[in-house]
Amino acid sequence: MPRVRVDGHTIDLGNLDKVLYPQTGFSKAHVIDYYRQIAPALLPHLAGRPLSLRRCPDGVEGDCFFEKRCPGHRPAWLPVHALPSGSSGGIDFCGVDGLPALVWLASQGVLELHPFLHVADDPDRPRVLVFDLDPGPPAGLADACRIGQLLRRMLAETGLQCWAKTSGGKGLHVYAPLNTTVTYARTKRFARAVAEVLSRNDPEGVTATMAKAQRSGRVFIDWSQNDRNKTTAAVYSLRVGRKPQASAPLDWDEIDAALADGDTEPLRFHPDAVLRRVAEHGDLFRPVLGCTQTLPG
Amino acid sequence: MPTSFWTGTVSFGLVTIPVRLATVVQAHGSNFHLLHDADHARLTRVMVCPVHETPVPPDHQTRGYEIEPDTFVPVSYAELDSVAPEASRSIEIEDFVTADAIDPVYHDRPYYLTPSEEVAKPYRLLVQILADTGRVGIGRFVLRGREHLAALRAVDGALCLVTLHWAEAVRPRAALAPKADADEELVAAMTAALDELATDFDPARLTDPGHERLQQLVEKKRSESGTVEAPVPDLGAGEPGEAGGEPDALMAALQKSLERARAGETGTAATEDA
Repeated sequence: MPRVRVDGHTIDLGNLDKVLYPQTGFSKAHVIDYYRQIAPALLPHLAGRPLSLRRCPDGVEGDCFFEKRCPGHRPAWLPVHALPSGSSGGIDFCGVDGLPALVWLASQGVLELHPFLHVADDPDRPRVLVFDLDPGPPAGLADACRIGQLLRRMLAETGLQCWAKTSGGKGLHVYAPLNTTVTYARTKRFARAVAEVLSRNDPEGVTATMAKAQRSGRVFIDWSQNDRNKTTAAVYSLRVGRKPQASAPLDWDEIDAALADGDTEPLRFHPDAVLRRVAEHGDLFRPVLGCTQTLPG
Repeated sequence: MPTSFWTGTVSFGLVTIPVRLATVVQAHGSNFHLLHDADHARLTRVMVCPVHETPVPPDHQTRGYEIEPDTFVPVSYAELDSVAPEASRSIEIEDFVTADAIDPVYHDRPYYLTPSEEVAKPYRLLVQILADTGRVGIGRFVLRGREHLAALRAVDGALCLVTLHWAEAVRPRAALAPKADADEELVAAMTAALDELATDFDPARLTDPGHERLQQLVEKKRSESGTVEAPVPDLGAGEPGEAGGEPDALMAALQKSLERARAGETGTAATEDA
């Protein structure tokens, strides 16, 4: 088995040629290499956070599953974050504190990284307000972008700036950083009220309800992820889908431009395109970590 | 392939084989959940103290080992951890026994053991020696914080692991067998009758009629009267002292924000048109 040294840690890399995205031939080697190259932009967004992992050991067309408990065969140097869960003891989640941890997870067939919205040391304080805009077919990314722009202006009226990223599928994630004193009870209630007001004003285009029947042709604004037990796919995380795509930060102006062109396809990014964008523009999502804002009300 | 949930090694002598453990039996139980009949909200479990008549949060729950009814020795989680088996990811085979030496009452849960990654050779080796000798490996391993006894068999070129009950958990049956002898003529007659019915075991022929009837009932009810949905709880009041704490006030404030956002939108559009 090939063995690499990453910042002083030895990692075994098995099955590097295994194709994880059969449609395009994107292999485990590609996955590891993508995470290695995106690390400088990605790592700050994972620091201190417990992670839920989505693994596809047999590729995206095989069984994929979410893993909360950090595998027992993890290397001793991999950080773990214990979070209480249920009545007996807690769950040890994997963490990522540097390149070796990221490479090790990728070597385990982990495709998606889903951090909690809080850091392990301060589990009652969400750092951001999150809206997951998920279009139900025949609605698509363009509809999510249109609603995203309206949501952005609405939040601006309440005094909150927000940043957007593609989900890496057909949706849009909108993050309003807080990084101040707040509780999940407040962020969840606020996010839900925002979603319900948008839905009430545009019942044909927006729903705030999870039920599949309600979602067809509408953009579902998922407010429920503002919860201490929920996770959202990290910025720059690869996503499980037919073709390899990563969750990529977007500039609001490029969303406007794409909507004006009537074509949002250019807003979907292959991992290589994400790497090129970061090389060119840096981490567009960096302000989400530093910007301090107060939840209105 | 079934999802593996445990990875470790099987070892005997100097051979170590990396393996994954996967479940065999699908939980084909019921999809039933307990709902409140008034609104179909899914009920949650709350541990209640019958004396205080209040829910007891996890950090006030502790364990007591029952000595006799209502008499306990309190044992903390930390103390339980101190006697838990040492975490280990190895199945050590200690004995090889003949397959029929294991009384079936000892069988607990079956698992498949699949080769981990590309190290298939030592796995094949163990499969072959078990198949050739007709023997079963007996070992012990730690799963979810408990030590288990396990039997490893070769089945269709793969390894199957069955956890075994510990001897002290199995009730003795020495007193079960009646003393009377059977009539020899009857034995001969009944053996002939049995031969008539002798066949190979074919589980695929034997389906679970209860499960099928339940599926039919659910499908029928679904097509007749559809489904019900769990309600989304009301927005509710905010925390004490929170501005916009009244749900209506928060919604009204956000409605204004949305209207201003829309006005700004049309304003921009008008400027562009001009």
